[in-house]
Amino acid sequence: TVNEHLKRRKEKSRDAARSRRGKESEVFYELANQLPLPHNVTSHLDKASIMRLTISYLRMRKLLNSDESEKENEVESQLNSFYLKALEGFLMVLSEDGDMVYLSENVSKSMGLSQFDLTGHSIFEFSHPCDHEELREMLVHRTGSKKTKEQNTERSFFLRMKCTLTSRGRTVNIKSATWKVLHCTGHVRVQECGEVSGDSGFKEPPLTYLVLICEPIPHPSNIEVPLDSKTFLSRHTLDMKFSYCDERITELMGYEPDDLLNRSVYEYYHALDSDHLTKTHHNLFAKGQATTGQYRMLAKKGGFVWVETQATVIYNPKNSQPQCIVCVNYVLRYGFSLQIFSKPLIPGKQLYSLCCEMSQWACSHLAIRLGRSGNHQHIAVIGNLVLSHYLTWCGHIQAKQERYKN
Amino acid sequence: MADQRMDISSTMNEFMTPSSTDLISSSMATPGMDYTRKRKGSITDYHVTLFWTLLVIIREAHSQIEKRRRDKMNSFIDELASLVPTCNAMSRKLDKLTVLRMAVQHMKTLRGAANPYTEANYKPAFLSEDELKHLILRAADGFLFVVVSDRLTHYISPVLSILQNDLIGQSLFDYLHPKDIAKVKEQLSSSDTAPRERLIDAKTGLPVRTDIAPCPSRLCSGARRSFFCRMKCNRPLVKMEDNDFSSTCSKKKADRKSFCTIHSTGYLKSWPPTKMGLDEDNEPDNEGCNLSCLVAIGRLHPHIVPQPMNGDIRVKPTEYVSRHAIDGKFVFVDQRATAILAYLPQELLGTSFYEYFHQDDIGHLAECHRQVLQMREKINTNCYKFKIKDGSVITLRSRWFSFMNPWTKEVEYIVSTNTVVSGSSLDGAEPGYPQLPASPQSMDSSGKTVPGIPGGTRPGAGKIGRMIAEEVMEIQRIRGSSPSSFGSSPLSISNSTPPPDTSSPGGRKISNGGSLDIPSAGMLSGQDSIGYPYSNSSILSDQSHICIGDIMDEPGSSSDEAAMAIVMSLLEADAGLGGPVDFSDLPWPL
Repeated sequence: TVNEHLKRRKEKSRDAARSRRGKESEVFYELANQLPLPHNVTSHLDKASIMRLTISYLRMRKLLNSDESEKENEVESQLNSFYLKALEGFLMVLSEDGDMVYLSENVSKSMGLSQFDLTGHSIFEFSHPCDHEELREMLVHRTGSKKTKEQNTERSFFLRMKCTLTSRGRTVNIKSATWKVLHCTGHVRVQECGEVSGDSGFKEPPLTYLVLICEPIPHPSNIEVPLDSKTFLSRHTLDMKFSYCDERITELMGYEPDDLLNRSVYEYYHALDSDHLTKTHHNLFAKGQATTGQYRMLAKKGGFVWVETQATVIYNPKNSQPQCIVCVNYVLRYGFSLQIFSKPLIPGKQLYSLCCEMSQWACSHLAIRLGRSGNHQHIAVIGNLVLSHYLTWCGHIQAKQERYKN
Repeated sequence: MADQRMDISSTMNEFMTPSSTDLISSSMATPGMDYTRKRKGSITDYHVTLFWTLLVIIREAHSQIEKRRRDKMNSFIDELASLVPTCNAMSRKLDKLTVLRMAVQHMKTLRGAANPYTEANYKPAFLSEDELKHLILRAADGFLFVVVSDRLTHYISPVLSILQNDLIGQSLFDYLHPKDIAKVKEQLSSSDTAPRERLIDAKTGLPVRTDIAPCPSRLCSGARRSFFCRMKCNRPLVKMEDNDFSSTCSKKKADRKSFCTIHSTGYLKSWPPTKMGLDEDNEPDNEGCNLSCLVAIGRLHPHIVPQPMNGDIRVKPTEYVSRHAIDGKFVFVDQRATAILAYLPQELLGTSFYEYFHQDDIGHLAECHRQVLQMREKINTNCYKFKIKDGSVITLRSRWFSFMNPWTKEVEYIVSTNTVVSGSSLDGAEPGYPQLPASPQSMDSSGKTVPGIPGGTRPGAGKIGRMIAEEVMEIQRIRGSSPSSFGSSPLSISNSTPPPDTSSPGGRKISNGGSLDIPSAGMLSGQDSIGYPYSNSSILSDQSHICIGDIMDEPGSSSDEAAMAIVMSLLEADAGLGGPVDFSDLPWPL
């Protein structure tokens, strides 16, 4: 009968579907087992997660395909495990379209979210929308033609990512995640795929990817590492005027903390660096934290010091309004020695070198006033100017002394 | 799960059209029934209809979600197929199950090759440690080092290329910049000399002083370190950090080795690692911490502030303005010139600009000089060399025009706007900056001398200007009232006295202050508004008291810090910095 026929057909298709689903589940289970993750993780993955993790794994294999299989001795291979732990932060590999193809396991220490939660997802789903444009620019890499120069492969930028870690180290739900600022540094790489694919007979297009080390910026209230004596803390109002400065600055740069109160930190930046520092400050206000890279700050009695600063905006806990900025400043090295001024002048070579040192001081101060003159020739000329002034003036002193003698 | 919930609510919003709600409410409009009042325990028609409507809605939403899931899974399958070589090789599209099966096979092959199951400490990982190491080094531009401290010596065992392999066993301090040794010692030490804590209160942003001893957890295994130091660097590709002006002249330059600033991050570890095993998570706390080592990655500090390259600076071009008598003698020089040329204005005034021109350029510039005196339009020179105070040359390009006194109809002076040209673009012509063709004299090898004029030497140079001025005046006299290219009244340059503010040969007491008398716009159309930035209260007028005497070398040891401070303030005043300076206590030899 027709009805029975139809019934049987329905049953068949239902059975077929069930058996297919069963087989599918079986294969998914097998696939999950092949993932390089602990069993207690793989057994709880849903199908979509199994797919994204497998796909990411295979994409990474492709990216790492060639080169770098140097023979290493036993000592070196023992040291391999140290690399990741020594890093402050975690490693992230992004594909050209922003997929997080790989994240190192220690991502959970910084962000709370685990490696298998994130791998395979798009970075755009886990980063602050206001940073997306910048992120897209970082992912682009135009290989130079013969005429144009090769684009720089270095990348350095600040990105806000979702973080489920509280300041006390507990984990919260992704819905309660906060934004954490990460300093991302690394390189864009292009991987040529040497193999010819299948029957089609043509080479696959080269793959562009971004390898980044993502480091959180330590919050000044929670600095794990000891700060040595070449660092000083400073606090600023939102317009970057000093509202407090650690007394260590005196031995490092010559200023008394009181000298600095209510003065804008911009007065102490070297002219050539002020552009970059202004941009850093914009980043700081937009994102909440920033690091400056190496820049010069003018020292009190002359010359300058190279500094790197980690800056954090402190918010009022009651109304979440920005309240002040705290900076941890690392003095890296000196532009020239400050000690030279404490020695009495001795004629001859030392005088000459003193004048040259002076000219650097004069350079740095004059450069600010003359406004961002980057021309080194220009600066050298200023140096000569100073020298001639000084010698002239010394000449007068001597002449006067001789007159007194007579 | 969150996705599903969101999907349901969004889909439900789509379905909750006004019409469907009308349906519910209209069916309820039975007279006498107040459907807002719920009778306890009873299911009204309202509830039933609502139930079925919601069911339909949810079912629809669910199928939408399902559809999306299926689509996503299909795209995953496609992507997986493209990554599995056996799938890729097939010309036809494979079904889902086959793709998955082939993927499993592929994974087995890959993992079987990479991670032999025989390893004792086998931990499943996406990347092998070796691969991870390479990625880290690719991103970080750095190297690993291990420093063992037995309180006497520190050994560094580098792993990668920056420091040579033969450094293993050497002392770290041999490779640090001498001034950073103390700093690194602080970081490495696990003794009580560690600096006291400086924390910031998270709420106020103010420091919280704690004078307690550094807490023990800072000193033990796993404790982290992060610091900057300078290390010797051999790698030729590294960006050297020696362009911070400090090496211009010091004799120390010869001994200066290349150092790079390294940012080191790492952790403390008990020594020796072989005894403790590689499994770091299981290390017992070593309270004594007598022998600890630092395992760190040193990164070539990647984050050097981008310096404006010569071409990148978007600032006003370095330039200054000068005024010259018709024979080329300086009668005025603006403040900026000093910074550019190193001469004080007093040194330039009264001298002829020819004294500073390079021989090769004199021909061309003489031609420009002639032209500017005869034309009413601006003349642009080519790039030329100008000798500055220390004898070196800079490259300038100038725009000249002559200013004619509207009353006397005489050329009073030549105004020159001089722009410094960066070294590389000596020959480059800027667009829109029309130039005179190079003077033929400068082309041939004998272009060193202007014919008929003793060339090159300083006294001779001054004569050139005078001769040209006279020549032009002669031409004008002969021509009489021949019209100029601008059709304005004839130029008659008589042998009148030079403009009132020319320097007298003797003293150099020139007041350079005061603003330029800019004539009405009609006369000087197209006048740039750049370039007369000095204020009426030019500080240079104070300088006029200085007699520039002979420069004496070896002035003696009488100067001390106080003297230096005076010089500093002098410099500040000279460059227009700071406030007014009290010169009354200066020991001027007046």
